[in-house]
Amino acid sequence: MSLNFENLIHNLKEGDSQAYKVLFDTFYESLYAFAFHYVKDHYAAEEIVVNIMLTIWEKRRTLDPNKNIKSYLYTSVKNASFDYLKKRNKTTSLNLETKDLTFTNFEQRIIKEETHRLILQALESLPKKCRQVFEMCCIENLKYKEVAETLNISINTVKSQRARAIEILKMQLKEEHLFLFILNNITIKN
Amino acid sequence: MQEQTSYHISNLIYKSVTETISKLEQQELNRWLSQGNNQEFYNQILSKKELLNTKEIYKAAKKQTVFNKVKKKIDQKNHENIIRLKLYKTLKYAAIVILFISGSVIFYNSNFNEEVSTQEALEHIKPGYQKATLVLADGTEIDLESKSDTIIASDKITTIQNTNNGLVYNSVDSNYPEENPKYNTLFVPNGGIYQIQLPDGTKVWLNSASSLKYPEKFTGDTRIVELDGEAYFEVTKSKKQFIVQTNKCSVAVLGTHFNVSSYEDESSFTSTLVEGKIKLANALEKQTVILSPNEHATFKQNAPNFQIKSVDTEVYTAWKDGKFYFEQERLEQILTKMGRWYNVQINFEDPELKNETFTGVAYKNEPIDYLLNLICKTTKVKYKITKDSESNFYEVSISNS
Repeated sequence: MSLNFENLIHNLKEGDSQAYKVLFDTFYESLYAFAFHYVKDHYAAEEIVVNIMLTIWEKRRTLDPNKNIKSYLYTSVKNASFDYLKKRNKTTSLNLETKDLTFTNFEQRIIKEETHRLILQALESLPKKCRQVFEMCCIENLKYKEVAETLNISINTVKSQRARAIEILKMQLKEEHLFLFILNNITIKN
Repeated sequence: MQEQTSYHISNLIYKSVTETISKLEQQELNRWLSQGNNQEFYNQILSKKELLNTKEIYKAAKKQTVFNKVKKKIDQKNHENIIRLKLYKTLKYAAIVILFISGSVIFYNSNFNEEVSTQEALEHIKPGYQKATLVLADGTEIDLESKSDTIIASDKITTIQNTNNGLVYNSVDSNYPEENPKYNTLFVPNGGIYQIQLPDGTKVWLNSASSLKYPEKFTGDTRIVELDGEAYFEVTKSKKQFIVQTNKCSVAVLGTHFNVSSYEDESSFTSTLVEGKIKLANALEKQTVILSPNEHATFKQNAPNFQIKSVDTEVYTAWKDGKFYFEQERLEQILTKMGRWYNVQINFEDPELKNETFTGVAYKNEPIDYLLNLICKTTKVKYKITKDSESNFYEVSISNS
């Protein structure tokens, strides 16, 4: 996907649905996971993120290239999730036990979601064989031999598929770099 | 830890996992890992359990299904706005289009029109930009849009240069024997705007659907140009009078800044003076009037006199700086201007609505619905966009809300 900074912003501001879809595809799942962590409810998480994505569309003309779109998105999801919890806790009992206390810190939470988003989206982009090998080597930290046995392929194939995966990801990173730069730089005024 | 850093750290972790990290970046990541419980946190988020868990959540998120829902909602909202609009293909000479419009309104209002969503309309209806056609004395037509920064014509008397900002005329040899001047005509179509510098240094901004005829070199005792449409003049001071002729009135000046609007399809002529002094005369020279700065004169073809009032000149000259500026202006005039700029046709379902007034400012590079929505918020009208399926023309239709 070749994108350039000016075009994406310009197109989004002009109401280009393609630019909007790119934004949605890139962030919907991680924002959903982020919301789900707080609200622990699939419907509520979906509603929260959908509303924020709709706001982005409605306010597209006020997108400010000098601010961070990710920051806007994650902060909005957090605030909306908290609002949702406040409302719900009024009607049910105050139940803080449901909160996962593993990552209480907002910044750590973002690091987790963003890292997972990058890794999972990168895996998604790899050819199937490559992906399997890479997932086992780099994410499950299995040894070459274990991967070879599990997938019933030679150790050399494992090595070459792994190298190929890294090559593909490096290539993407050049584009992703630009892409991240773009997304880092779009945000909403007010 | 600053929030901004979180995104950066995520990128570093991703790169380290995929072994695409540089040495410097690895050092940076190591520094971060050595702080607090970051190493523990790092191991945790990269654990198979956590990653698989997130993967499951992503699956449950049903991205594609939800995107379709979002798209539907957006389309519905656009529909609620009820808009009608008709976009005319750019015709070469706007003046010709203007003549067609009055007749074609009736035709295009027939059942051919299909209502279109705002989004579709916005994809096709774009604000205007710098485009124009120059017709030389010998009839040669030059499309200025495609010839940026070139000398497009040159002879012993004048060179004509097309720069990014417009057209510049330079007299080569002022002592060259005077002969009958050659006339050039600059046509700016709907959706266009163009700047030109005449051989005497006078700057002219030519608005959409306008044309200006002028000599390649000013000879004789006066400097005469002919205008149809709207233009803003910054006339270079000279002993020779500068005269703008329109089919309704003429403006005579020595050196000033002023705006003239005299479209053939409108019954009135208006002129606004920013600085200096100008003399206006109607076509038969029966009426003359002298304007002072910040004065605005209107001459209606069926009225005997010029009407003069004091104004904020910004209202009448904002167009040259890329703005729409309306102050208690009638919707009929506002939409006529918008039609010229966005190249769409306008239709008032109830003629009474033409007299509604609106005050507001908008940048001309905004999409068409920006100004339309602004107007609908403050007046009692709503709008619809329709498209003629055969001709692909768009029309904005204004009705009671």
